[in-house]
Amino acid sequence: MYVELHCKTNFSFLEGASHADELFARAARLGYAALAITDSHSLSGIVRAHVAAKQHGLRLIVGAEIAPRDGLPIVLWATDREAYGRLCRLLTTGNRRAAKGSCELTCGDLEACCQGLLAGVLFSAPQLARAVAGSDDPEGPEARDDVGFCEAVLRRYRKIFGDRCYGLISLHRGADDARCLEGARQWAAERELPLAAAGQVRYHAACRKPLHDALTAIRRGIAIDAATCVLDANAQYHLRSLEELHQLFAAAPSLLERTREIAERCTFSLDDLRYEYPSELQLIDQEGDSSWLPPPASLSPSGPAASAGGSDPATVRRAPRRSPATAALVRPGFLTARLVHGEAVPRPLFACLVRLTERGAAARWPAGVPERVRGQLEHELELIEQLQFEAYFLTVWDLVRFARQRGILCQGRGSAANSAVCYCLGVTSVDPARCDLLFERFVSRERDEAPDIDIDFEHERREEVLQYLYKKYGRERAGMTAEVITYRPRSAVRDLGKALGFSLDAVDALAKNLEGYREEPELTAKFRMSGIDPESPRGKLLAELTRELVGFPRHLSQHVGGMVITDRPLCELAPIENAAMEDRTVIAWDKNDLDALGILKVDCLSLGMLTAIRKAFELIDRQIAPRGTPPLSLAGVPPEDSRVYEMICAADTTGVFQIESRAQMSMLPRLQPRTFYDLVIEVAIVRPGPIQGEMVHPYLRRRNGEEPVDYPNDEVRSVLQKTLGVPLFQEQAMRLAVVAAGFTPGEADQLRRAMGAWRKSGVIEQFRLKMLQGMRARGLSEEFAERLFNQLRGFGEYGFPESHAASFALLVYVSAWLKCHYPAAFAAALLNSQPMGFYAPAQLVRNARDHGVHVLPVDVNHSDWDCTLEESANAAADSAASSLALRLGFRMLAGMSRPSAERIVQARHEGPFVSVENLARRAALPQAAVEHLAAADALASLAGDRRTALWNALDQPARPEDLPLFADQQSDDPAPWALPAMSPAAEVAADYRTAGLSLRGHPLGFYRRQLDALGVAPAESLARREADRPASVAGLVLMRQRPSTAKGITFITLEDETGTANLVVRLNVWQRHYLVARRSSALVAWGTLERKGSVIHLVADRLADLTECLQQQRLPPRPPQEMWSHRSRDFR
Amino acid sequence: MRILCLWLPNWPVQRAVQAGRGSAAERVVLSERDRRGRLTVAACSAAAAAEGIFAGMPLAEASSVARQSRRAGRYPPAALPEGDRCASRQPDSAARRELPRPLWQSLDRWADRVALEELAVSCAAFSPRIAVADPVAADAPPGGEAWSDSLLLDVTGLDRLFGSEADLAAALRRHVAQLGYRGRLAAADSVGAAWAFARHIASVANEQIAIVPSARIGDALSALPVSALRISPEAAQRLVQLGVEQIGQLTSLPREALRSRVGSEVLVRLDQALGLLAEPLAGQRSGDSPGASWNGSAAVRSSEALERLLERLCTKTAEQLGRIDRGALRLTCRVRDAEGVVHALPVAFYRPTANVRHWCELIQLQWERLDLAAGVVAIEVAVEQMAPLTSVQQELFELDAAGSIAKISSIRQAGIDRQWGVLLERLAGRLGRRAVVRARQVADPQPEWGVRWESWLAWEATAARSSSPPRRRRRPAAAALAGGDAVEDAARPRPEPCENGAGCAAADSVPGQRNLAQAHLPGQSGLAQAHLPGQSNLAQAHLPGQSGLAQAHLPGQRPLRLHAPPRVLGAAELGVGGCPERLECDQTWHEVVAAEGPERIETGWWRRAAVRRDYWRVGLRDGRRWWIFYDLRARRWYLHGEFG
Repeated sequence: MYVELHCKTNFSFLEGASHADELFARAARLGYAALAITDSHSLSGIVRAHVAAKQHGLRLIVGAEIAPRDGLPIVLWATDREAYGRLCRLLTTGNRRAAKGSCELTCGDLEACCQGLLAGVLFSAPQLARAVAGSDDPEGPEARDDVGFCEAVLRRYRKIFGDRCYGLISLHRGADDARCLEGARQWAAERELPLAAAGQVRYHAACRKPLHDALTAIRRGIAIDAATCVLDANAQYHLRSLEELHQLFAAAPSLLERTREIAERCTFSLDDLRYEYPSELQLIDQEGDSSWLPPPASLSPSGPAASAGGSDPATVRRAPRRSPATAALVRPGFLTARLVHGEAVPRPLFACLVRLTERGAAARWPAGVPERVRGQLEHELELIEQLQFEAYFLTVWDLVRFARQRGILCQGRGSAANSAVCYCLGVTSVDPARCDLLFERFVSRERDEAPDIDIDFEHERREEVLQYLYKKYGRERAGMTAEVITYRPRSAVRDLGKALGFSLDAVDALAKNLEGYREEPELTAKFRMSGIDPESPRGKLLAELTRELVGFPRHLSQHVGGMVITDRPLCELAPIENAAMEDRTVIAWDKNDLDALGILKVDCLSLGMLTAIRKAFELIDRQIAPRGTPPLSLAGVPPEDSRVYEMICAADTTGVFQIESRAQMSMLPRLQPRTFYDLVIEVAIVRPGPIQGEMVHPYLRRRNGEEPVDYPNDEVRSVLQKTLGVPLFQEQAMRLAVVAAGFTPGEADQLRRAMGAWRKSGVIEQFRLKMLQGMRARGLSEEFAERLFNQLRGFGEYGFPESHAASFALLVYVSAWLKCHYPAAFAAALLNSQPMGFYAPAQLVRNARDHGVHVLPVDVNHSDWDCTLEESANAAADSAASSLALRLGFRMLAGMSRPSAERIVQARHEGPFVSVENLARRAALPQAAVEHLAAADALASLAGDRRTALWNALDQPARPEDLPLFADQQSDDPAPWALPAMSPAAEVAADYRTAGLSLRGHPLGFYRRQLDALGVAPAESLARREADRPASVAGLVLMRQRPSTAKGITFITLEDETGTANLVVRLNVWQRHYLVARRSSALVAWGTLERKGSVIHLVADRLADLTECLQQQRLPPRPPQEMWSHRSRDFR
Repeated sequence: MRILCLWLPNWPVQRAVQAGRGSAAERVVLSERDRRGRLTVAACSAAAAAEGIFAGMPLAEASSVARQSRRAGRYPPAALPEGDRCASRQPDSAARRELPRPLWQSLDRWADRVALEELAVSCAAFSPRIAVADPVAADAPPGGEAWSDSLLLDVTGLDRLFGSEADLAAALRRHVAQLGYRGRLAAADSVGAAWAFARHIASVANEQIAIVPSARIGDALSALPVSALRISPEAAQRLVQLGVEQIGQLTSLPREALRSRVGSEVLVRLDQALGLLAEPLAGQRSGDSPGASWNGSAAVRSSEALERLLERLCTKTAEQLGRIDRGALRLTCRVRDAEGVVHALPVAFYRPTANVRHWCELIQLQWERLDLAAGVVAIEVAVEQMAPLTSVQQELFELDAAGSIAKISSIRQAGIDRQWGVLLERLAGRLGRRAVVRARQVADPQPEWGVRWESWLAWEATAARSSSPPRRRRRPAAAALAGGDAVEDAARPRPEPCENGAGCAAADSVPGQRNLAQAHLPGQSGLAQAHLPGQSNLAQAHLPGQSGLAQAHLPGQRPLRLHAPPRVLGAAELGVGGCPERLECDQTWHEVVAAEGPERIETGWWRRAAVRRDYWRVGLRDGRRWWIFYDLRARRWYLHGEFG
């Protein structure tokens, strides 16, 4: 029996050319006793190898290949858990010392971490090979050097590792195998180094040699034809059959035997990595803090929406600590009773969780916990206890508690977050009594996986939460998760194309054409489109290699928010690497790896809308709300406000969370949401999953009563009733697999994961068969089964869980409510939270003005850094509700620095500025900053028009230090002669250039006469026009979008002075007018008007650049050169 | 003073079109790396611009624009007649033809500059003082640097020779047009004004010539935009922001207030244009690269006279080189005959040399083939590439009594080396540089690919080098003065350095490779490498069967000569490991008494035919040793070479 001791997976980036499961499958088939995975300076692929090893019933030996700077390359294998920890520590040392993606080690580092590690010196290393070959014939001085060096290093290794040091010989049918083997044996025998055979495996089968060669070329950055000197002479670096190995090592069979000896010394398995929860959590119980909960009285009557509104962070801060008296209100613990009678020695953490849950439940349901919820709580706690997840829940609870103490808005999501326990813990605000969530979705009995809770924090303040975690657990024990970036078709053809010597522009074209490609058959068509013949020899090679390379890991990146917290040092769990971002480190495993080992991870994500909502709350509390009213909070927002729903139904939702996108806006009038649950559906329905699974139209038809709602049986009815028989949520799809096909919840979850995996394998087909069988057995039709399977497939990749939708829907409602009742504050908050959301500031401001908000321009005597609300005589006349005008802040100006703005605000406390010179001196502004303000027309209150201001600004000293000491002039030099006045169009263009928007007018407004002459209609008039007739419209391009579900159609939104118009650009039109379509910032479109309900599109068949059209018109005025200097938001 | 400015719009494109005469590409796109290192369009022809390509556009995007319109098979609307542009009808079938591929080139600033200087020289008939105008920042492509695109001629008092200034300008325009270039011309009292008028007044309407009399210069200038003042783009933009768009507005502003706000640069340029501040014409032409020229008043036919002339020019050039202790690696002799045809005679050297006789000899080798019956009116010798001279003090070593044999042999070697170089240069002069090649060893696992052929001389090597990754040349002179190392490197092509990693055992044989090759050459009968020009095609430069030098890293494991193609063998009685015990070649059976192997070679999957072979070194009973292989695809045995 043979054990391969030196084998790399594709996690030795651009070195290994096979996935771990391919290696293990082949090793198992060939009858290997075990397989070591020894990636180069990395353990990133080891978890996948572990999973693959289990699957194929083969033992995995964990190791890594390292090349100390002052030594010979060796392979290290871990014998036990402690040794594994030291291996991780060693790699961490090397990774942290070097730049991202590389590792720098010395023999000294080895000395520090050697205990328990076995070492194999590679005889294939060039220096050693030369030394061995040249030792009997030491002619050249080079060989003599090598011999000396190798002997010294070897002595050192022997000293470090003692009897744990081996030599590894690999034979690959080279020119002189027999002599090499003999020479090495003799050499080793003289030095008493035990030898073992190894394969230097880089791919599982010989057929991967081309891919390996191509990867080598990519690594070296040269074309394959020029890379011959670094390519292997043959394909022998694969897992070879035992027979072949015996033939190769016929002269020394003992070398093969020794591999087993080494393997037997390595008893470590990744299963030994018992996850140890942080011990700090035990302290939580002592704190006994439940101040996060609002006093029961402040909870609105237990209407459904109110409970969805949930707990309230703002009140939390202000709520008085619960007095002992209120504690008495809590009924004697129904859960604590279990603890007393249950286990003999309850786990302290679990007991703590139970107590917290109990307290929370009592606060949530002051009138008593409903029987159903109580059952659910019991069930969940039982699962948590059984799977030992209590520490996880406590960690999440701790994070949420911290955020609330700091006044950071946060909201948990994910079905674990929306469990009854989390509702009681305050992690989420969605009432479990109303959502029938599948608890097994996140904690499955079959698979020992960690639950998944995502917590959204305000995007500007998430860092505080991360810093809290680092502070609490230390950098040693808390770290970011990595994300494995894999080759996509696009990146694969880019790299391979270059390696195969295709011209750069051909590669580029192909890569561009591969946007969003997933299915294989398309590849040849895409090749043709890009001018590469797929039938040519190189074309075929490229296609073949691309197919193989897709799914290979490419590099490690940083996960958006996954934090891992451990009890013992993190670097003994997995190696830690430098991230691209400065001062950030990541552990070498990704989310799936952690899941597979059951390691705790909390996702701390950032969400812009939470920031905006908090800022809006603050503005309203401070300036609008009458004194004495309680501060606003997520829960304090009045539920089910019909005015809000009317606004939503009219698709007047610019700026509202989630439902502001074009697709959502066109859905709103059709769906007509009237209740909170309708919003949950709205959020979930406009997703690729339901759209590709073709569930949207059936749902709409059924909702409008155009189609009967029917169910094949009662079990299916129980799952689908709330969505009228159409599965819209991921949970429903999984639940269907349970009730209709007899899956266990754990199996359903496995199915979901298999669907979501990027790499295809036979696994999905197995599930499909199982599912069809199960349905047949339950008497369901084949057609229903197939349809369900396809729907499931859609959900696997793009599904949206109900639990997420419910959490989001709450934010939808709150933001819509703010927009409806406080448009000025809402707009200010959105502007102050940029960049976020779907629309640019210009559209937000315009929308606010359309809603009667009086917007004032940036002015040095009035503006702050942020946009503010201020009393305005004009605005008061409009309506009582919006007596406050929105004053734009300095943050709107491109290139304005925050410190300068703050100095201006600071200096203004002493009184308003009187002249440009006065401003520059008091706020210590450099000339460039003053010039900037002048160009942006923010000096209007000092110098009148823009040009005079600029004239004065240019006269300021370049640096504030150069200011004359006593020259405080009260007025500036008047301009020596009247500078020519700017045309209104030029003013608007300058506004757009400096602030991205103009309050004076819309650029297109100046050219309406010319547009009329061209027969171009104003955007708002389209609604009154007859459908299916030719029409044309012109405007600034606000955005271009090409949803993956739209079959190559591009949606372009245009804006003119009257409103916006939506263009549909088919692929052929896009290609015909590529340059205009892709680049023009303002264009004219001709086409046919299409109307579906109240949704109007112009299906374009011709596009032209607006500037060109206007210039041909020969009608004054001509547009100035940079008239349309705004930036559209493309393909986001 | 009267200055005539000749502006050559879009000069790099004009130059590229002219250089690539014959390729009638209407769409020319020149690219360069911008300051951020991205490949961007630096200049493009009008046809390309009409498609939407513009300077500063990323090259990748430009190529996709070109591809889109190529695929659409039509010219973009702007290229159609004006009236059709906004019309809604589809482009008709005539316009739907497939467009030719655009000409993609990288911007060659050095060649542009040289061509402009050559143009200046050719205009000598129009003025005794001609200067290439300095680049103006305002003309720079986005993210790049500006280039020169104007000539300035001092035409003070010359109008009478041609009739009038307008006639002079027209004659110059005709001259330039004959050379294939389009230019606009303007005459005025100052460099600044002539420069501005050439760009802004000379237009199609007035035959692209603007003659502005002294009296009208002020008026004419005041109507021009401020950017016509050769001021920095930032200053121009600032003026426009202030509403000052024309020079006339600028002159009416108080100077001191202006100076503190837009800087003195604007004032200097304004004064220069108005002729208030003198601006001397820059020097004749940049004298960076050594060279000499002769212009005869009458055609010279006598070959002896020509030889003397050439020698004189070479001597002059060599003196210039001698002052900086350089030798020429490449030089070009240009000869213009009485009919105006210019013949270029490029010469490349094996090592830098300043030996005038040697230069002349090599030039004359080519000269002899020219038809110079009409007589020669001008000769120019210009050094294109140079390197430090290496001097060997031969005599001293030879006189050294204590010199060891090794030293003497190294001196001999050096002598042979030098003579060898001379031989190569002569052969190359006579047969063409491409015909003189040498073997280069390549570490390629497949034995047939172990050797490739490449040119001996510097010229080819550098040409090949600069064609693959476009190297950016900062200034004309910089390339020549880049220092010994770079040139030395270019002169001696070496295999690409490969790292000393596994599977790259060839690396250590690289340093010795040159000597190895040279040591073999004297012995190689008839210098077979000197192929006839027509037959030597570098594309198929590898010659199977000649890999004697290759695989030196596997001593004793590769035969010196290979059979090309390998010879089919008959085989019988496979023994241990799969090696046959008897082999048949040419109907004779040989008994195998010793076998080593198999060595497997599987490679070349990216070439037309991948190989999978098991090689054996076998000893035959008659004492011969063969290198045979079993082709795992064809399942046959072959004899690939013989040892010893």
